[in-house]
Amino acid sequence: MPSNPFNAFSEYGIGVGLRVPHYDEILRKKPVVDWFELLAENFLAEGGRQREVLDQVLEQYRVVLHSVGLYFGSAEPLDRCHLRKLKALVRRTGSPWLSDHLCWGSADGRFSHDLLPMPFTMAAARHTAAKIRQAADFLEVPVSVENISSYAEWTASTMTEWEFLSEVAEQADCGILLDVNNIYIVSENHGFDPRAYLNQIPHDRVSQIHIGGHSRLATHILDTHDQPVAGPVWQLYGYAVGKLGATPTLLEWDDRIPPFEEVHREARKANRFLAQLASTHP
Amino acid sequence: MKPEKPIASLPSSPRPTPKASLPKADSVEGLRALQHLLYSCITRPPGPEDGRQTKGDPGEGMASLAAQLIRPSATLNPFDRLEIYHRQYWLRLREALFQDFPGLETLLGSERFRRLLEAYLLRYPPTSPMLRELGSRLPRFLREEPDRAAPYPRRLLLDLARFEWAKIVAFYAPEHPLPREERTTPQTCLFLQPHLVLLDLHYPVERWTPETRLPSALAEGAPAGHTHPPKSGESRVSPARPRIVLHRQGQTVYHKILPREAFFLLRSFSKGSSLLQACNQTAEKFPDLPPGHYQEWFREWASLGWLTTQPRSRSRSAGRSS
Ligand SMILES: [Fe+2]
Repeated sequence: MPSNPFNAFSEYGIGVGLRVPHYDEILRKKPVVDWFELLAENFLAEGGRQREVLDQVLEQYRVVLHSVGLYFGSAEPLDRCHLRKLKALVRRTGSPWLSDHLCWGSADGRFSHDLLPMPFTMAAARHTAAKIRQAADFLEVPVSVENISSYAEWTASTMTEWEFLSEVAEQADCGILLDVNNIYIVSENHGFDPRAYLNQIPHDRVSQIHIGGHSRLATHILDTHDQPVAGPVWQLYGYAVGKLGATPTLLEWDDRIPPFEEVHREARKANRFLAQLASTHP
Repeated sequence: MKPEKPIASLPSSPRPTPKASLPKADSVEGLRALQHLLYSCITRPPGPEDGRQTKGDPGEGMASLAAQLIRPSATLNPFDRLEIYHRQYWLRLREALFQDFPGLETLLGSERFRRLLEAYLLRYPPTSPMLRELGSRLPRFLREEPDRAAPYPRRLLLDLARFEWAKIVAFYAPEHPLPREERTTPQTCLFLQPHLVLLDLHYPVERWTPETRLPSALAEGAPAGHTHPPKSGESRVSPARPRIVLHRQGQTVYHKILPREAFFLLRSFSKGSSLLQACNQTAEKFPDLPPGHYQEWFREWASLGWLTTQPRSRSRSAGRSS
C-alpha cells in the first residue's frame, strides 16, 4: 500500500546513489540493492562509459532519476534543450519519477553550477510552481522537488522555508523529495526547530527521502556527503518516517567515497526505523 | 555548437544600492532582478585569499551590499555568509577545469593555471547546465590571449588545450550507425563519426606526460623543423607537423597520427562528401599519391568505424574544438 498519493512506490525500500568508483564492483558482483538513484546529468551524453554502464545497470536494477540542471526557481524559463534530453533518459530508464531541487542557479543565461537558496516570496513560489508543472507535463512522469541545504537567508523572504516548500508543492501539485539531512543543516545554520519544519509540510506529498552526511565547521554546517549520516539526522529521519509512513529512502555519498558495501551498510541502517514503523503501524 | 545567445552584461563589481531600490522578488521581474544581483555577487572575481582563507577583507561596498541582501546568523555576518557561495563558485569551477586539462596544469603549474582559468571564466562564464562543457571555449580564449602563454610559445599552450578538450569531446560524443556495405556506392555521401576530432597541431602534445613537462623536451621529440619550439606568435607551417585524429572505441579514447594526405582525405568528410568527391579532391592536391594508399586507408577507417552515412546533429553538447 502506498503511504500517500505521491508515493505509489513506497515498497521501493532503501536505495543508494550510483557513483563512478562503484561501477566495476556493482557490475561484477551484482549486489542486491533495492534501487539506484542516478544523477541524470551524468547520463545525458550519447556516448562514453556512462551509457554502457547505464545499459548494464538497467538490466539488473530499478533506477530513479535525480536532476541538478532544471533550476525550477531561476527567473528564466526552463531550458527546453535540456528537458528534451532528460525526457529521452526518462524513457530509456523507465524512471517512475524525476526529482530536482527547490532552488535557482542561473541568471541571464549564465550558470552558477550551484544550488542557490530561493527568496521565499509568494511571487517566487508561483513562478517556481509553474515551471515544475511545465516540466512534469513535458516529461510525462511525476516530478518531485527537493529541499536544499543553505548558508544564507535573503532579506527579501517573506515566509519560512517550509511555508515556501508547501506553497510550491501545492501550486505545482507535485511530490516532495524530503532531504532530512538538509533540513537538519538549515535548522542549525539558520536557527530553528527542524521538527517544526517536518510538522508543517504536506506529508501526503512526500514521495522520497534523502539522507546523507555533513561536516560541522566552527561557524556553520556544510552539506558535504562525505561521511556517515550523523546521529541527530538519524533521529530526525525516525521522526520523519513516523509522520510519513514507509517512504523510499536514499543515501547520498558523493565525496571521499568508501567501498560500495560500506555505503550500502550505512543506507540499510534506515531499515531499523522502517521496521519499527511496521511494528507500530502494521 | 549553436551560437551563444547574447548575454546581458553583468557588473563585475556589484555596487551597494540604497535599500529602497533593492529588488524584492515580489514579481517575476523582481525575482529576475534580485537573482541578477545575487549572481553578480557570487560570481564576482575571486579575492587574493580566495579558497585558502575562510574570511576575507569585505571591502566597504560589498559588506554593506551583503548586509542589505542577507540576514546575519548567530555565528556569521552577512558578508561571510555570502562568501561561502562566492568561494564555492570558484572552487567548483576550477576543480572541474583542473580535471579536464591536467596537461595544461602540469605545464603552467597550479598557481598560474588557476589565474588563467579565473581570467577565462570571467570572460566566458558557464552558459550550459552541463559542467563538462565548461572548458569548451578555453582554446578560443588562449587564441585571444596569446600573452598568457609566455614564456612558452603560445602555440604549445593552444595545442595542449585543443588536444585535452578534444579528448572530452571524443569521450562523450555519440556513435552513429555504420554504413551498410551493400548500400554504399562511390556516390554515397559519408560523414565523420561525431566522436572523431581532427587536430592539425604544431607540437607533438599527444606525447605529453608529466615527465616530459618542459617544452624543450617536447621539442626534442618534435618532428623535423621543430628542434626548437617557435617563438611566441610564430606560425610555421611544416609538412611534418602532427596531424592527429582522436576517436573512441568502446569506452576508451585513442589518438592516431595520420600522414597529411590521409588527414586531408579524412577531413573532406567533415561536412559530408562522397568517396568519389573526396578522392578526386585529394588526388588534385596530391597528384603523386599512389592509388593503393586510398584503398588501404579506407579499409582501416571502415574497420575502425570512422565514417557514417548520418550527418552530425547540431547539438550544443558536443562542442567541437578543431
Ligand atoms: Fe539530497
